[in-house]
Amino acid sequence: MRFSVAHKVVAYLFAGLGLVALMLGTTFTPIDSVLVITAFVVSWFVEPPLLDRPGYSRFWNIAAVVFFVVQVVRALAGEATLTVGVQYAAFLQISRLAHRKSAADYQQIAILAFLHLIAGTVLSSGLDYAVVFFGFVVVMPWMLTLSHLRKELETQHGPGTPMLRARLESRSLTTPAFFGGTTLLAVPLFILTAAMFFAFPRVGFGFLSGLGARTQSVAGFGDDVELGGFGTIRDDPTVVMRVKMKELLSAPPRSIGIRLRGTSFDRYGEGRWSRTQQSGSDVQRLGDQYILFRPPKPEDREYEIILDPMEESVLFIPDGAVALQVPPAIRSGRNRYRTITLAPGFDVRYRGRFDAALTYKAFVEPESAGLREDLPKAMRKRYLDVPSGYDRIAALAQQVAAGASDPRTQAMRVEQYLRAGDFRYTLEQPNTEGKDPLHVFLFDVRAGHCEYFSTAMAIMARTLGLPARNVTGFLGADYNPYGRYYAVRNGNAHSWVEVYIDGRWMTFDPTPASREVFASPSGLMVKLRQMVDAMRVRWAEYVVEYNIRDQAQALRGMLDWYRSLRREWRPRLNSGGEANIGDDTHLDPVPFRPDWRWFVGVMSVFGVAVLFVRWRQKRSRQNRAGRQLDPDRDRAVRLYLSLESSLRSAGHARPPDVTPREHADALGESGFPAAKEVREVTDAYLAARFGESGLGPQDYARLRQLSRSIRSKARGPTV
Amino acid sequence: MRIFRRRRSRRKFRLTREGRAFLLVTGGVGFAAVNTANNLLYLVLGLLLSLLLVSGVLSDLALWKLQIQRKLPSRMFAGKRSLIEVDASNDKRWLASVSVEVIDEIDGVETTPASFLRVGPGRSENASYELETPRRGVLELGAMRVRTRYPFGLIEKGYTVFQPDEAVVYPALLEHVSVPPVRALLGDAAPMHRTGRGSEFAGSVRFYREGDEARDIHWKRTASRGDLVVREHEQDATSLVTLTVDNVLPLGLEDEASWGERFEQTISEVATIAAAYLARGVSVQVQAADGVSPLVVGGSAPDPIWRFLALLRATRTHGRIDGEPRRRAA
Repeated sequence: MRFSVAHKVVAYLFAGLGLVALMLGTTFTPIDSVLVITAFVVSWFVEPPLLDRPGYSRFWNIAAVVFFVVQVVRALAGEATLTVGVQYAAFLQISRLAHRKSAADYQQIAILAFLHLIAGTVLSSGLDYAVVFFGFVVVMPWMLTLSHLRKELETQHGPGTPMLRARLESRSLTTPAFFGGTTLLAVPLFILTAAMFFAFPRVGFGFLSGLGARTQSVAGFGDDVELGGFGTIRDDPTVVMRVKMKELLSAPPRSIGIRLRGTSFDRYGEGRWSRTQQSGSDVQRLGDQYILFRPPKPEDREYEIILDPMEESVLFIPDGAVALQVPPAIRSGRNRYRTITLAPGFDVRYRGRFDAALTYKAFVEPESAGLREDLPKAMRKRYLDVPSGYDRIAALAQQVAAGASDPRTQAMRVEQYLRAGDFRYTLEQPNTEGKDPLHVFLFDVRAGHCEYFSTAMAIMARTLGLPARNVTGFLGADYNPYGRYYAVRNGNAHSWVEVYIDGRWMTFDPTPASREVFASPSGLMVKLRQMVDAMRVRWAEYVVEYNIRDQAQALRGMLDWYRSLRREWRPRLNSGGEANIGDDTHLDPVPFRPDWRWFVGVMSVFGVAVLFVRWRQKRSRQNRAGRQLDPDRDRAVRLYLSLESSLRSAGHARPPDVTPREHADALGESGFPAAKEVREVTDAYLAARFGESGLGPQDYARLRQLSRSIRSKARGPTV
Repeated sequence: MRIFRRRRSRRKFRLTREGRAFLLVTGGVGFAAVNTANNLLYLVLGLLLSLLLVSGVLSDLALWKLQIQRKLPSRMFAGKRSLIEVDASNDKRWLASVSVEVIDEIDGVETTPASFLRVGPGRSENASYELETPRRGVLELGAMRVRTRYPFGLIEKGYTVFQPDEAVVYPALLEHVSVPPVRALLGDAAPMHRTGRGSEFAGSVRFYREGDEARDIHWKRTASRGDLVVREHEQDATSLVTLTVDNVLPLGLEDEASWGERFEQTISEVATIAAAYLARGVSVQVQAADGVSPLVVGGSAPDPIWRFLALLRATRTHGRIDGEPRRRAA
């Protein structure tokens, strides 16, 4: 590739990554993004003579000033400073790209892209930033090296000179070897970056972090929810939460029916559930544990929940949870414990915000029989409230529960009626215009999604005098084998009912399709999504959430490992190396066991790589020879290249102005120890390359061996 | 000039302008990272510092196993630019040395670097720089600074290699100078049967010497022997010119500087005239107060005369007070 073209491509890659880093946050609207991408593409086609026009530079300078003024005015008018700043940063990059002439312009492009990368750290902390960052690690050595070389060329030849133009059009520098070498630089860069990242002591104050972190909006956990606004997101595969279980089976099921409770609603009217606003109290904290019912016991199950940032600060609680463990944030090297609140309706929320995923643990008692909660009279009344005009529904409830006096039996009959009757689960919204949606659901269409079923049961239970509430949360999770956790998707959002029986809130789920919710999707795309999500979790766990506590833990781990090594080696050394050999009972299981498919896969990739390299070498030889060679001549060229390599390493490289025969003569005259071999190989090469004599594979192999032996012969006998 | 005990000094490095800016940005990112506890900023900080580290290692590799050799031109004239060749041999097996500069450190002379954009592994490259020496005489060369800013232009790393050498800088030649005609002495009209710049081919050839004219190359013989061979000519007449340079510094001279300037001018004139005579086939010798140059036969290269003049210095003696250095032809 020509130097100028290579530099342009690399500069656009670099600048593009910087612009993507800017677009990751929430500051860029789709229109902004489209404008930037269009300008980015258009700037590619700006070339001389347009670039050299005198008015062209002036236009961009004036545009920069005008746009700056516009952005300042917008900021003063109330537009977010970050937004106008980021937009201006993108504009500057576009102006540089459209104005690239000299090494200085390319250097400015690199600097701007780099500043964009830095800006991206406060705009996004997701896996997308990781991808951009990795791209930077690969492209940065290319960009910096090419910009530096261009500057050296300009200094050497002077800007605009024919000699400089010739060098920029030359392909001698930007060879595949150059790109291969600079790409390999990414490896030490990456290792060093990782080492430094983990080694820096984490002491921070947290003034600026996460200005534009992207949060997910999931309906159903705010102050109210409209009937039909929550249950229709079943097809959304976005992962919102992951659940890691401490005791995971060796062959974990693909899906589990875990129920993660979000919040509950106590008032229903006009097709809408709402929650009575009541201030919650702080949950009692013991260290980093928050006691919901009692402190955790050793027999409790432990679920680690990794929750993506959401608009609502709800903590999702598994059924039977007795306590939570929420790690503190670290500021200035000190733990800052979070405040967790509990409001009536068992609404557990956290105060403050978090920029990346929030990881917390839930301790779940093995046998759970509903939520214990006191229900004062005033609140009981609220949970029994039924809107007017629901007599027909009350009559239906009475009919369904006929003969049953026990509240639990009544509730179960209503649940059974909705679940096993002729009601049908569907995501299609019934036409409820001008009618009460619940009546339409129960008496007309008899089909709907989870919200219709749960609302119907809650209202029917209330008409029977059972305090009931509508609960929203997530039901079901799919196993992610790459991250060894269960992923909860947006599509797992669900709604069910809690009925107050004997001092506890008991869970009832009248939705007939609840079982289908657990059906685990499969296919290539799902696998890819699982891989990406596992990477996101690792990125969040090891990079975004990495803190001084993890550092101390890692250091302790390393010290333990070192001590264990010493313990292991000391007796072995004392007993002459025989101790412990073969005793592997104390060893950890091997985390990764490659099977034959891995072996075949790796060998295939290796084989393809070898074939590709050989093909490239052949093409390169033929290019050097100037034409396609027949097999004999091709072997001859290969042979002589091998001889040249041997001579070079022996310190007797052939000067470019000396023919092969002259070089062989000269070596003979100078008393070179392997002159005879050089002569033989040279003669065979000349005869095959330019004469009529062929060079068969056997001769080739013998002569190649001979040419290799020159290295050792030239070094002389070893003593 | 500093005399180095070591042939090659230790590697030294300094930050370039871009490197200082880079370090400033790194400091800023570090400050922001510590203040915000934003791990992504720590990541960027790690990348920036890694770039500096890798840059340092790569620039070391670029200079590693790189042999530098200076080649002086056969002739250098005062006040004129001469091309000094520098050979760089990269003895590494796999890695190229990229973006290397070599600067000759000569006392009192401003030199430009000889630049090597890329010296491939196991290869040698040749570069040159222009050197303009202000005065004639012996030019002492010693240290050469080898430096590189590869790969990112952030760090300049280099070392000094001591490679002593000296060159004789010939006097500046003048563009226009009047050369008086020379007539053969009476009774000596017969050829001298000596080689010289005459019209007759002497029938013999010899190997090419520095300063021989290209038109004298005997191409046929050159082709058959593989080395440059030139024709020898017979000198036409017995013309001989002795040019006298008065290099005695007058006693009681007040303005030594202006005398010195005139002396240098005289030497330049003599050097130019000598070359002109020799080109015409007239043998030349230069006589000074404290020595005489070798006799150079007409048609030969004037280098012995120029060398004599390059090294000629003013001497102090008693008696002469006219204060004008003279040249004299006989």
